[in-house]
Amino acid sequence: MAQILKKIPHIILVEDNEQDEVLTIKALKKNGVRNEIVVARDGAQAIELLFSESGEYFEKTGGLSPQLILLDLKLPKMNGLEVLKKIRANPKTKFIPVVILTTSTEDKDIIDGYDLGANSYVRKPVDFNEFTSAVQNLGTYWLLLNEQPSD
Amino acid sequence: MKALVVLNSPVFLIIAGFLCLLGLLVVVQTFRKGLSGFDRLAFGLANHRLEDSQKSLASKQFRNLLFQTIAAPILTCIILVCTFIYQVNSVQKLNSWVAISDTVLVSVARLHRVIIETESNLRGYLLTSKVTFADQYEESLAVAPKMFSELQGFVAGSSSQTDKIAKIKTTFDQWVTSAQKAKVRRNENLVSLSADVVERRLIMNEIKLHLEDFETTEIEMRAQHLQATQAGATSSLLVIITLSIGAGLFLSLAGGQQLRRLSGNYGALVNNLDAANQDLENKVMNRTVELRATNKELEAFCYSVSHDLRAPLRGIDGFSQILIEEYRSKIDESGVKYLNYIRQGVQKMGILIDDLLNLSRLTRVELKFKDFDLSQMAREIFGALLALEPERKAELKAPQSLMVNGDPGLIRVAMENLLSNALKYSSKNKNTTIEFGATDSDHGIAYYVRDNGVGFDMKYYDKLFQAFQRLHDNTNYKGTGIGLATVKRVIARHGGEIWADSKPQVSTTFYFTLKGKA
Repeated sequence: MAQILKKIPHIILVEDNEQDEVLTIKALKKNGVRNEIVVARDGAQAIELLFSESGEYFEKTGGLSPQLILLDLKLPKMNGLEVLKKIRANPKTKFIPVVILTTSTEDKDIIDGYDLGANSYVRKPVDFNEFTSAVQNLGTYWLLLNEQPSD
Repeated sequence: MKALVVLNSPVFLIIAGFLCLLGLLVVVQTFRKGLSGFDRLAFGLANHRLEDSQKSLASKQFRNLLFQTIAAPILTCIILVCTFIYQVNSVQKLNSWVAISDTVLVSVARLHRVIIETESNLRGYLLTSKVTFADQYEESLAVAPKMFSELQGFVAGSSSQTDKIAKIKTTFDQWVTSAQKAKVRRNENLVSLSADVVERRLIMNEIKLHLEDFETTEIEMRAQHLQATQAGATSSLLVIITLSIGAGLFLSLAGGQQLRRLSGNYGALVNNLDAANQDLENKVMNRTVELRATNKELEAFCYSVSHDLRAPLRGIDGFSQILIEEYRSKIDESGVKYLNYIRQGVQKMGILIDDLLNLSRLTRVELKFKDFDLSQMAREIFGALLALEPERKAELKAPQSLMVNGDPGLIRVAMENLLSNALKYSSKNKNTTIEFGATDSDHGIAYYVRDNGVGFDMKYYDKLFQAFQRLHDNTNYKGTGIGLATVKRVIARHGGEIWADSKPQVSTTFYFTLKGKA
């Protein structure tokens, strides 16, 4: 199992809402994304996953960075923007594509998001069909088309 | 002397009296009018927070002030004029004594001459027996009594002079008796009258002495009267000068006091105003702080609405869709239909939340004023809207260019709403014509969007611009009822007005004005 993970790059989904998590994963799977999806329930947990040199996640990935981080903004303990700041500040994680996937369309959130180095800002639509197509576009772009510097 | 005559003339007295009356009238009128008008203005304003008792105090204060400004100068002038007339009169009275003395002296001189003439005429007659001398003697003698009585009349005021005249008259009468006798004897040609001559000579000397004495006394009296007149004139002058200076001092003191009081009142007024200003500023500051807090709360509320209300909706919609897709075999047709109803409701609620958020954002966002072409914007929006309904036959009539000043972002929202409404409510027409332009109105230049669609009943006009109020059913014309409320808010933020006019099925026009940047 551990070996497979290393071969297929994984995605980290930072999402506190269980329903949104299920819907996002469903939408991703529906669009043929086969990457392992690791879920962090809050900001602190996301940081833990990314920077800890031990634990189940570290064992599973062998220290390999995720191919994409889907980040919600309104999170318990540590909000999305703080998480983003930490990701961009660390040389190990600063090139990982981060897509903010949130409900907010406040100008302030969008500007702050890009300011801190988000690669995209996507609003989660209420309509599940629209949501699916948004996620499809995301997957196509960030997982298939986008080139990243290799480790 | 002439001036005194003028001052004493009845015409002058009438004019002076008239002026005094006028002055008093002015005083009375000023008091009556002033108390009802100026009083309220000056003191009512300064003491607008005072109790009634304090107000009446202020009015008393005002009465004093008015007295000092208007009544006091006029009354002082009246007193001055009266004193002046009195003084002039008394000087004139003294002066008339001098005039009488002058007349007496002239009269005495004439009497003296007449007596001498009488004597010389008699002597002429006695010596020559010529009738002309006798006639002249008789003439002079006839004049003498008249002159005596005239003189007695002149000196009636002085008993010593009256006595002297009486004495002279008695002595002259003695001489006349003797003279008459001599004349009679001369008529009968009896001569040698030396004893007579001597006697008459003595009498005449006595008369002469008396006359000289009288004259000397009169001259002395005249000198005394003249001195008194001069002293009177000087003292009158002093009195008038003193009074004038006194009046001037009094008026200037009163004026100064009144100015001080006024400046005191003015100072109080300014202080009151300052306090009121400060009060107002504090209030404004408090309100601003409150408003900021409220705004912040509102922002927090909107943020939470945008996040927390939408999340469950997404869940409901998403899982309904998943049920329809993945559990299709376990749900019958009605079940699928109901699940779709659920999704429709949820999606509508999503749109409502978005519209509501946009509406609230309109009030919070900061305006960025710019000059831009509203006509160009209308064409762009119309093109974009029509692209959503490719099968619609519709055209937009708009002027080449229409420059306005406003926030282009917000105005675009308003224009999108107006134009999409115009298209929406004319969708049952075969051919749709929408007009955009500018026209004159009561509120200045008004921009309008006109369509030939279904329109609305003017009966419900007052509900037109209210949020969530719709004048059409949702089956034929979809909408949340936020559009026109949004437009109204955009226009209001630009300081403009919005109104509408509709003839159902014929033409419906929405007008709005923009104030632009102040």
